Amino acid sequence: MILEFLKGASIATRHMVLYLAGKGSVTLEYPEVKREQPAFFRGRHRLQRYEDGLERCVGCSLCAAVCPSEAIYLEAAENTPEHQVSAGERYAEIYQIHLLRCIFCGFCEEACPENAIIMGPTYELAMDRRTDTVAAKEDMLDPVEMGFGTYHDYDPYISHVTPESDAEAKSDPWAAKH
Amino acid sequence: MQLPFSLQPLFDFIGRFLSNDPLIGATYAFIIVAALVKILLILGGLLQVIPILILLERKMIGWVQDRPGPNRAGPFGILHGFLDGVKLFFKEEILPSGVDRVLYLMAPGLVVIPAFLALCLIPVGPLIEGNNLAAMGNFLRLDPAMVGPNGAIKHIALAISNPNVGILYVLAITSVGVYGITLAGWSSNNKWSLLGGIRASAQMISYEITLSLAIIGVVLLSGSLNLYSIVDGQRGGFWNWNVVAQPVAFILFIVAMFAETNRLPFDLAEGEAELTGGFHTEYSSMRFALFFLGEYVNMVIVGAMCATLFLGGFLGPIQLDWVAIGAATGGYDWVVIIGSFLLGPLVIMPAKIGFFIFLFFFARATLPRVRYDQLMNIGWKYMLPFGLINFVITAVAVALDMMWTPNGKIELATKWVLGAVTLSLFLGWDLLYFSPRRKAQMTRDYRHYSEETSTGRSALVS
Repeated sequence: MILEFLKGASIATRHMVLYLAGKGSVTLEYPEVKREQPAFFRGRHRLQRYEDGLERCVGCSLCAAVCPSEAIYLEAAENTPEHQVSAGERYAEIYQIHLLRCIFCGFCEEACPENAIIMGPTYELAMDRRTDTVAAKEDMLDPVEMGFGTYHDYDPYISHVTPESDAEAKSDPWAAKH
Repeated sequence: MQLPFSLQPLFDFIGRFLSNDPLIGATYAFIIVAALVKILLILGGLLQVIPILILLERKMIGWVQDRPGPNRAGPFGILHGFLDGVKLFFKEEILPSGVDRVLYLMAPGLVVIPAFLALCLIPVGPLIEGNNLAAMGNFLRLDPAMVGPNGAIKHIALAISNPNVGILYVLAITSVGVYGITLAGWSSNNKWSLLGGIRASAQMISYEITLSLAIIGVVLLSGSLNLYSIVDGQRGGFWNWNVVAQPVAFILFIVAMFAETNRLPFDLAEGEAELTGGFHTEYSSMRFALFFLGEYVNMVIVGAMCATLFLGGFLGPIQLDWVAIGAATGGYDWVVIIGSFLLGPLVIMPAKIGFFIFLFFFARATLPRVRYDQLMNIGWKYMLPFGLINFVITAVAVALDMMWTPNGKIELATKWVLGAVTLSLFLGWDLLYFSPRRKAQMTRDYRHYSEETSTGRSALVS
C-alpha cells in the first residue's frame, strides 16, 4: 500500500520537477502567444479584391440567400464608368454581417461565385457595445495593398495531405504518445 | 547593550489602572502588552501568509498537471490571493430564505474562532528564561523585580499562550470546530449541505480518535501534556525526535491530519463534484471567505502540532551551543539572540510547517477522493487498531521503566528500539495484507462487480 502511494507520488513529482525545469508545459500563454490558425479556419469574414484593386463582390446576394441565420444584409448599386468599384455591373453599396447571428458555418464562402467573401482567421471578436456587433463593409473589406485574394484556394473536399505535412504532423511527440 | 529609554514607566502607567500595588500592576501590564505583541507577530504574520498559501496551492497543483497555475495578476500571479480576498469582500451577501438564522450566522465563526484559539498554543520558539530573561530585562530597562530570574515573571514563552494541558486543549478546541461545519450544513436550507455537514462531522469525530491515540504515544514518552515539555524531550538532534520513537504514530497522525481538516483525499464534505459545495454551498462573500480561512488556518495548526509533537518543534536538526558560537565569533549578543530565539520562529518552524503544507497541497494534486464508506472503514477498522497497538507497546515500554534513565531523560537507544519494533510490526502487516497474492485474490473476488450493471456490460466499459 505504501509502495502504491510512493509510485503515485513519484509520477506527480516527476511532472512537477519537469515542469519547473522548463520541459513539461503544454500551455500557450495567451494573449502574449497566439496560435496560428489552419487554412480552413472559419473566423470573421473578409471581402476580397482583385489584383488591380477592384472589389470582387458584385452584390449578387447569393451569400445572403444561403445564410441559414439571415445574418447578411446586402444592397446593391450600379457601377458607373466614373465610379467603378467592382469588376461586374453592380457592386455592394451596403454590406453588413450581424456577427451575433452568424453561426460561422461557411456557406456564404461556398456560395459566392466570385470568391469574394471568405472566412478569415480572426476569432477575437469581443465587443463593448451591441452596435459594434454588426460588421460593416469597411470592417471586412481587404485593404487595396492586399490585392488578389490568395488566402482561400483551399478546397475542403479533397485531401491536402502531402508527405511533408504528414511527416510534420507525425513528428509531434504528443501525437506519437496518444 | 540597552535601549536609550526605559519601558518601565509605560508598564507602571498602564499598571496603575490594574492594581493598587505598582509591582503587580506593572506585571499585569507587561503580560498584557507581551501577549498583544505576540499576537501581532504570530497571528498577524500568519494572516499575511495565507493569501500566498492560497495562490501557492493552485500553482503547485498546476505544476503537477503540466500547467503554470494562476499567473495573470502580478508577477508569477502573486496578487491572486489578495485579489481573491478583495473579490470575496465585494460579493453580495445573500441570506437564503428558510435558513435557521442564528445558526447560519454563527457557523462561520464556530469554524474560525477555534482555529485561531488553537493557533495561540503553537510554540514557535524556546522559553526566554534565566540569563536570557535577565539580559532582555536589562535591554528594555525593566525592573528586575518584575521581569527576571528573581522577579515576578520567571519565563516568557514564545507562544501566545502556554497552558499546562497544551495538547489536550488543542484537541478539545478542534472538536469545537466540528460544530461549525455541522451547523453550517444543518442551518442551510439545503439537503446536500446537510449531507455534507453530517458527513464532515462523522468523519472528523472518527479521526479524532486516531489523532488522540497518536498523541498519547508521544505524551507517554514526554510525561507531560505541556507542549514545551514535549519539545524539550526531543533535544539533541534529529535522531532524538519523537518520529524515531513513534513512527507509526507519525503516520497515523498524518492520515488523521488530512481527515481533520477536510482536505483531499478526505474532502467529501466539500467535494465540489459531489455535493455542489457541500456544507458551504449557501454561503457567499465574507462568510465563505471565513470557511476558507478556517480551513487554511486548520492546516497550519495541525501541521504545527505534527512538527511540535514528532519533528522537534522549533529545535533544529542539530543542536548548536549558541553561547559558545557567540563567544567564538565575538559578536556575542546578536549571535546568541538570533541563534537561540529568532532561528526557531523565523526559519525552523516555517520550514517544518511549510513541509506539512507542501504535503497537503501535494496530496491534493496527487490523490483521488476517498469514498465515504472507505473513509469510515479506514478510520475505525485500521487506524484505530494500529493506534491502540502502538499505545499498548509504548505503554508497556514506559511502564516497565525501559525508557527512563536514572536522571529522568529517555534513553536514546530504547527510543530507537521502540520505533523499530512498532514500525516493523506495521510494515509486516502492510506487506502481508497487501501482498500480490492477496490483491489477486481480491480482484478475483470482486470481479462480479463489473457484471452487476443492468445491461450486463462491464461497469468499467460503460
